[in-house]
Amino acid sequence: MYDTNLLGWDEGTLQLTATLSGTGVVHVAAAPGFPSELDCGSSSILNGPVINVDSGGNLIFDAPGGSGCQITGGAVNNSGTAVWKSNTLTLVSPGIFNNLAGGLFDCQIMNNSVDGNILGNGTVNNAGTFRKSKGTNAIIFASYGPGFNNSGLLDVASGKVQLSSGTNSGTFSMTPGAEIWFAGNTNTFVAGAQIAGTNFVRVNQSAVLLLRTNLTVANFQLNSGDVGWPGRFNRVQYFQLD
Amino acid sequence: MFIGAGGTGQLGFSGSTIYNAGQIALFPNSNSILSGGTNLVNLPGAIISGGSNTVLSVSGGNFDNSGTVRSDGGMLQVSAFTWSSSGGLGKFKAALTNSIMRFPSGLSVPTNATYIFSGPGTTQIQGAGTVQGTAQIACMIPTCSDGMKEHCS
Repeated sequence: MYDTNLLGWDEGTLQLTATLSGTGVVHVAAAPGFPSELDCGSSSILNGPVINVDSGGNLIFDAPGGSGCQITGGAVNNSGTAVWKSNTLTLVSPGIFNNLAGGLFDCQIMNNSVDGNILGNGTVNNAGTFRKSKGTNAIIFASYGPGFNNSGLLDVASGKVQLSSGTNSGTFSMTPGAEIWFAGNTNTFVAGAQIAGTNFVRVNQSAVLLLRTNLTVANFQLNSGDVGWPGRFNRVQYFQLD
Repeated sequence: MFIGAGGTGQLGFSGSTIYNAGQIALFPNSNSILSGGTNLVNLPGAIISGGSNTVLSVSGGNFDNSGTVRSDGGMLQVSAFTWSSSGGLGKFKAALTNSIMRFPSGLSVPTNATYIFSGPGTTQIQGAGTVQGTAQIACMIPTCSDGMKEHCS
């Protein structure tokens, strides 16, 4: 007998190893405790459809061998968990990755020299948590590559994250030993922005930090680049000018 | 209707339209090719089931799926020249943990239609695909009053 007042869950896993085009929607439907998963494998290209990942849903970028995953059109709206496990990740405009409030983007990729490269000229808008949880090397947003606009939390729990451009009103957090680097483009800090943790923030490759708010930073190294005002640094414990 | 009965085999149709209002069961290792413009219409509530190295190819026609295509263990490969869903909702279900529903040449989710991909198994899109409507992964289903899942079929 059916009881239509009761609902169950029929999970699903979709593995993509090809190009997905169109103007429709891919809905990774889920609810807490009711999982589903979209796996973007080798040579997968999201080229148009909007990808909506519900809370409880999973989006996996895992492309060992071959070319990495690409987002070349449309938007990914993540309220669930996105995990980057291997190969490069490419964001080409108008491709955009919106990590929504409550969403987690977890960089688990580990490699020699550089843990992972994010290429292209698209955009990451982070209102949730963007975390580097594994690997002692760097996640690198290519110089003049994808922008990273942070209104949520960038959590560098291991290694380094090197950003290119973006506007920041959220929190940058580093666990002991982790670092955040800015390289090659302009990052603007506006009201609400803060840097937590006592490790180094470094500016390299002619990057510009534009401070439109006061920013507290424990350890700062200006290696190659500029810092623009009218904001100022507060409570700098160590300031190195190379 | 049982296709490929007796194991390995191939059954071909040409220039027809097949309407399924019940269940078409594709037997293991069968290769069903609907060529020459043959169309396949899987009506709401109807089921096409297969698995264990089964191929369903609507090679020159349209696959109108408003019912359920289901892999009951092992691999079911499905391909079509064009795709539609007159009922607006078509389901593709990998029904067991070892089920694979594979689209070797991709698929197109038509405008104003929803295709649901579900089940404890895996759906694989290996060729270029197009989503004009909605491709939904996983779904809510009714359960029986004893709490058991009612199959999403």
